[in-house]
Amino acid sequence: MIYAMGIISIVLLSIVLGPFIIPDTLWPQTARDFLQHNGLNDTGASNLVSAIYLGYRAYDTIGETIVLLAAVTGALYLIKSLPMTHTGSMESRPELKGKTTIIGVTTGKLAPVVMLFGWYVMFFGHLSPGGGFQGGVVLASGMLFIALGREGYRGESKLNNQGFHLIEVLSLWFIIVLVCIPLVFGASILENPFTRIDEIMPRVIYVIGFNMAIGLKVASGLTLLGLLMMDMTHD
Amino acid sequence: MINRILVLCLFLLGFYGLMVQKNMVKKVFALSIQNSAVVLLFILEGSRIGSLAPIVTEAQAAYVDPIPQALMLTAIVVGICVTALALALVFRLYKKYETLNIEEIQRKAIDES
Amino acid sequence: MITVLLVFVVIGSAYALFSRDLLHSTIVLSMTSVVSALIFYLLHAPDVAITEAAVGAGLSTVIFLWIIKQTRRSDP
Repeated sequence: MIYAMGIISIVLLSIVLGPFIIPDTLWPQTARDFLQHNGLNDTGASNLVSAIYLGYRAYDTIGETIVLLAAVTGALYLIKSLPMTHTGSMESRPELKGKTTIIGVTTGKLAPVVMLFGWYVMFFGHLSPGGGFQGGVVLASGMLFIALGREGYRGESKLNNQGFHLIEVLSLWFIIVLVCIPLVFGASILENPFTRIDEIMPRVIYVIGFNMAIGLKVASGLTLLGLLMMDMTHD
Repeated sequence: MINRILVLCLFLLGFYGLMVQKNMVKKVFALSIQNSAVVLLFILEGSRIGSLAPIVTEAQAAYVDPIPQALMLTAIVVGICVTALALALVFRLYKKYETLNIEEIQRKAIDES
Repeated sequence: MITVLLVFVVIGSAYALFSRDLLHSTIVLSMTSVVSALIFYLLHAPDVAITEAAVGAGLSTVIFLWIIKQTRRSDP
């Protein structure tokens, strides 16, 4: 019964979506020509994708940061109030201690390399592929490596997550400050203020600052989510 | 053109999975697959007009359109937020009704009220 | 080349939706994310490729593995 409804709705949906997707239409080239000529001068970033989401459409980036904050807060509230099923501490299964020591050493030694790569992707996002979001996610993966490595050594060692809450709130304030700073220099908000006063500082300072703020916010939010799910947080 | 038909098949597969599957975790899988299909379609369409990655260098060839790529960065992050929150809700439902089958949950909820 | 990789993605997604073991579904879904990141690189979109690889094969798989551990692993 539900399979028949499924097949009928698939057929109807393909009839509706087919004329939009399948035919060969020309993709407009005006936007690409405009950005190729003016992207570097207007915002100061060589990576044109960074120039778009940090310069021309920075409001969308702030909206996405708020969506990430809402998701992490919602998941934290929904999961924290109920006890999760545990599979027992490490001391009760002594035959697994050897394997977990190997995992602990490997992930513990690999974590700084991953975090260094994440910081590089975040910092140089205006010159090469990368940026705030990418660097933030890689940084979060590095911090989760440390959490995985810890679980192998001692049974019930947990990470203190007060630091991550602090970093998340501080980077939200940093973003708000960065949004309002161009008002001091006479430009509108969210516009790179150093494109008008080119002699004092290089133009990329604003872009780098925005990238770091977004990267720290994304990294701390996703690390909190990961730590909560691995059940490694103090209450 | 065959690429676009395959991406349409991926989207319809996700939609069929969302409608027909009774396990709630499979429904969340289907949402993630649909997100992947939309991102693939945009990047596929935007890459037709050029042949270089959109980073300003000294080369003279035409760049790929950078606007769909910037939009899809946001789309991917919002997709993972939706997945995380949906799975938190699935966790709460499992703790209350002890099953992941959505028809049994419907029956138990009607019996309770 | 891109057509062949897209066929992989479609087959992997179909297996992930219709298999009876949720752990197999999660691993295959992570594989489709990595193949998708390769497709993005071949289409001259390196930013999207880094994001999709890090998110799909990293965070998304961790979240799905957590829910499988807390609930059931098999489908019916």
